[in-house]
Amino acid sequence: MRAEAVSDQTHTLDQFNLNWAALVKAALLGTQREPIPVIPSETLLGRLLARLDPADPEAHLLGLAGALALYQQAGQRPVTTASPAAAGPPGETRPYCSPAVEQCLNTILNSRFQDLLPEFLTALAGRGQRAPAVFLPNLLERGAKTTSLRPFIVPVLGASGRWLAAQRADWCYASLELDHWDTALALWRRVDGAGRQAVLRQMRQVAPEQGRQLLESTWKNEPSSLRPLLIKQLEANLSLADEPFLEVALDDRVHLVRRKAVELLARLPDSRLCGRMAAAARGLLSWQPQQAEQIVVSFPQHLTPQLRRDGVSTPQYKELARVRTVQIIDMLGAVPLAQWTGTWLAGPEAIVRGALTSRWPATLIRGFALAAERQNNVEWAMALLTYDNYSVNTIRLVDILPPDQFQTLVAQLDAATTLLNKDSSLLKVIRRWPQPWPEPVARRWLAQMVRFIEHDNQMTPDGILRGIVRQFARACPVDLTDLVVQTLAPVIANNPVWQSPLQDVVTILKFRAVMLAEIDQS
Amino acid sequence: MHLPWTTEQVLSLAPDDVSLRTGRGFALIERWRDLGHIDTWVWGSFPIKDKPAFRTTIHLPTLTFACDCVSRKYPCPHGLGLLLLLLEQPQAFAESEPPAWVRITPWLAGNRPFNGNVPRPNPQRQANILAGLRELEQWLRDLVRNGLAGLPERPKRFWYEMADRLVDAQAGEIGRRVRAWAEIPGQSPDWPERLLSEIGRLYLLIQGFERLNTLPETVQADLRVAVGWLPGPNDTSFISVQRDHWHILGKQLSQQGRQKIQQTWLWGEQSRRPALVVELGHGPQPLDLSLVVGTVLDAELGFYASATPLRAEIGLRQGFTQAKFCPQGVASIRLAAAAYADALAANPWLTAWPVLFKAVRFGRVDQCWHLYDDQGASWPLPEKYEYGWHLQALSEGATLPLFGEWNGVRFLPLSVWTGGRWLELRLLRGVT
Repeated sequence: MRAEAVSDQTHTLDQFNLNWAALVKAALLGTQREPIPVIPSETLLGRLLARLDPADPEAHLLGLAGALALYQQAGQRPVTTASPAAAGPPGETRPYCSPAVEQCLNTILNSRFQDLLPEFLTALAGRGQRAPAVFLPNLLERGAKTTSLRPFIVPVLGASGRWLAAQRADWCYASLELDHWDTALALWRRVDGAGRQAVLRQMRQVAPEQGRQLLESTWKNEPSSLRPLLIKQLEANLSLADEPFLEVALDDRVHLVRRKAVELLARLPDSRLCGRMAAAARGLLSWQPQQAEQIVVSFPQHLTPQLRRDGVSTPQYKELARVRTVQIIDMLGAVPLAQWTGTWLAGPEAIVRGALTSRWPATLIRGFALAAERQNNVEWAMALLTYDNYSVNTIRLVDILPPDQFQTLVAQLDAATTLLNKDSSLLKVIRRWPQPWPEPVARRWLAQMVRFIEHDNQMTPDGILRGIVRQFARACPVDLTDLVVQTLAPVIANNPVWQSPLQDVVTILKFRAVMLAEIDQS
Repeated sequence: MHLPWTTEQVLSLAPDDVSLRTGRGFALIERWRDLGHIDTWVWGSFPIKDKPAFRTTIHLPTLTFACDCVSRKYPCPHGLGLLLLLLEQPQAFAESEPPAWVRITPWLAGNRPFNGNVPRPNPQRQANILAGLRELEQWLRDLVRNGLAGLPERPKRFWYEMADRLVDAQAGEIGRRVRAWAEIPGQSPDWPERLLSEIGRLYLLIQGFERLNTLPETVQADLRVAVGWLPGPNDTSFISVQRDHWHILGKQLSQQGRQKIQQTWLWGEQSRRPALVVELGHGPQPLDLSLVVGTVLDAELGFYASATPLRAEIGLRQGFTQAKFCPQGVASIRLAAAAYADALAANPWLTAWPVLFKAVRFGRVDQCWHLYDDQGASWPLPEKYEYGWHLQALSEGATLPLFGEWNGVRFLPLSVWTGGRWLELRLLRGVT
């Protein structure tokens, strides 16, 4: 019966659909209310179904439904359409990584140590290799969720990974279309707000100028809620070329856009805004090296509209002192630091010491620190860190230190630290450092850490210290692996409370050493 | 010592991610003592601080693990770690006399010839099932008499109670189907069509079972399997026995209550026929791990009676090798659909039909992945399919050999031939 039903060509598809629709209707309403459709008996199916008993409507309907369902399933023809699959990826130039490296990636993605991914991807990209195809969807998905991973992921995708990314809206940050102006512009016009943020962020990484041009192409019509999020993306690779656009944005209708424009212009010491602020700030501070109060602050009587446009805010505090604090920082943050050293003929150290003698010590320190951070001024950063004793006002300047400067700083602090405690400056500085540790730093830290643990082995590991131990495992150069393993072996054996975090250090370091060696050899 | 597995395949044995991570962490030579091997056995002891060491043994041909640890997982991380270590550093295992603690009795009776037991008729079970199915028939009649329109308001319990009664009546497979119906009403615009076709097909099955004893032997066998009355472990009344090199193409693991079900698809190199080996595990009893996707088993397979013989038991095993090529698959969707129609005509109760495609490409239409052949025909993959992007990435827009199950509506890919080996899709991390 079934074989015949399948080959029954006289029963057309239309007829079948008609019968099936009528049957579904009868089933929905119930046989109590709705009659069962009659299948024309000249078809083969009709002849078979005629054997069902019409006096038993439920059995009739159920039998009919079963037969039609089976008939449909067996006789179903595959739909024939043109395949929507895009043409394959353009020629691939990067080779895949080796199977051993692939295993490392698999381990990272499925382990507790997923934060090793950036280091892995950087090393892979450094060898000009790409991630295996089977990992591409998961990597693209991670990048879609975690923006900070994107600069690491995109270089190892290869042409095929970027071809894949072009097929999905939330992977557009990696799309091949970004490589050419015309396709990038088409993509920019096509995607929604989140997509534009992703596209602009990526464009600013690889082609900052074109990125800004994309933004300008639709800036007039971007909605108020999106504007601040888009202008924020200009942070990456900011340059004087962006200055005219930002200068116009100082008059934007959206407050958050104006704030962001000020912040970005303040990072460009040659911008018109910094020039205006430098002129306005000339009367703000006066230098009196011979006096007890070496820097005197005299705040302008009137806040000109120009100053307000340039970002000096007017917060609604009751106490005038708090208002002034904010305004002084707003101004100092946008003044080129060279102005002070140049006009006062004093070095950053002298000026920082002078600031501490003024009536606004914390305010001035914060203002100078903001300027040093924005202008990437290492000399000022060192002076501020040292003389302000690594306080919360200055500690983030550690971020802008070059490795050798950081190394010198750590050496000084290490020499001054006999035994670590929670408030050690050494701890604060190392904790803040965002990059891999130079080898001498890792050696010094290892010695300090072991000394501390041996001295204080009964205490449950403190959160901050534990955090740095975690960091050490990830930032220590792998060349030191053998040294670390040997040094820590007796410590692990003798200090039960530290056993698990230190064992992790050994595991991670060993894994990193193998991983980097495999990538190097491939 | 020749090992037929790759690292990737050994890792596929891990019962879950945690075991995988831990097992990998144990694959270090410094964590083990007394490593050794003889013939098909390897062993090692795993020292623990302040406690007796765990002693781990593996029987290689059957991939049977034994360990003193308390892990409920199988294989435990020690077993997995030991096997990985063997694969990566075989020279660390010296050939030696096994220590007394090595247990040389695998509990899987993997290697036995067929002996031709005839199943005993079980009229009591048949009567139980029939009583359950008659109750179901009455229930179905009530459904269509009152109309399906009100069903989306029904609580899930409405379906589950009927499903449970069917399980009690020893018609577990029917119970499973009815239980799944709870998800259909109101779920998509075409739910009445879907439900009605399910109900109708089940009705036909009831009608068939009603006349069970009057039907030919193979049809009876298919009906019994369709209601969940599976051949017992001692039932070896096969309609045919086939010796071949069986390529292990796909595996599915599922759980029903306390019962674990492992379905493995095999493909005969010479016979070019598919076979399905089903294993049921109860509670802590381990499943047979030796059927590793991507290996080839030289063995006799006994096929159970059926109009479309698929289910089989493994008899004498001659050993495993690594698959070196992909068996010849079907060239087009049209041919695969025709084979399915023939199979369905012979066995209307068929639920899943294995298809090995020679070359298909992938595409996404209306948020749903499809596979395409070079004639432009297409089959949809399951809704919200998790591995479509992986298939697209692996194929790079070109074609790949693919193995999976077709159920008449959607195709479920199980493994794909890429980079010279079978890759099991279930092992990947899904992206929707």
